[in-house]
Amino acid sequence: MANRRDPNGDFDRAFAAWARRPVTVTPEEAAGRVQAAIVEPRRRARLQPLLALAATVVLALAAWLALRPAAPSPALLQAQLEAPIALEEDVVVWWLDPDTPVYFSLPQARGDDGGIS
Amino acid sequence: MSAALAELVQQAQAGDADAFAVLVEGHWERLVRFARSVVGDSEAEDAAQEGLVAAWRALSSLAEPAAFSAWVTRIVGRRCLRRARRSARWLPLELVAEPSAEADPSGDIDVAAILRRLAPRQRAVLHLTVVDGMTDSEIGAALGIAPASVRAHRRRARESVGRLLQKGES
Repeated sequence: MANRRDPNGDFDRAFAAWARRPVTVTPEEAAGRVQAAIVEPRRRARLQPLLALAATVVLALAAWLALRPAAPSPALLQAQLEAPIALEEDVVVWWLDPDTPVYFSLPQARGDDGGIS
Repeated sequence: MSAALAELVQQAQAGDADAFAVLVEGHWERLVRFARSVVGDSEAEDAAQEGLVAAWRALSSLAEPAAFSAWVTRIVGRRCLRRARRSARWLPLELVAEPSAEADPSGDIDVAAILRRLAPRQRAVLHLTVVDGMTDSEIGAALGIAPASVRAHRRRARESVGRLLQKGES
């Protein structure tokens, strides 16, 4: 009777010994790993508003560059200055200097009132 | 001990990652051993680490800092049960080795093979009973189940273990 085996007791002893095998990753290593996993996303979360702001600025700048009216080139400006101004028949232009035109409008010649002939 | 633990938990709740690292160091081996019993050696450390990271994220919901140990065990336990269920879906029972003396040349009980034959929650209850020596209410708190369920799981686990041991002997 005294030698009768207790299967539960045997199993519990074997289980306890099995469970207490050494752990591969040390507590210090584990703490480092967990800390890296929890600190990195927090740092990323803190930087997120700054990154979003920078991205918005870059996008706005790119949009402005793409959509702004193109500045006329110097050659185009020169061509515009040199092009003859289209005037109506009864308009005369005098250039006081290259930047200052003066327009004169002549009265319409009418055949029935004895005007200029 | 529990006052120091509660203080560390409070510091961690205030965002102190170093305080949480100290808590991890203090609980790591116990949690990995628990996870090994539930999910096996290959997944235990990942499950424990995953649970600890989840615990950090949920730390503000812990109302009683002194209950940290049971609370973190429950989080790791949940991860382990989820993993165990997932791997059970892919591992047909026929492929799970029968416990036998052959599996262990020393002739001792093949604990790993027996545990693989139990339901994941039975493994968890058995571990917390046999290895950690917890009471039914402590186990209930750690696994989020009633003490009566703890007793039912343990009874079924004991019956299965008895059957498997007899089979191994015959």
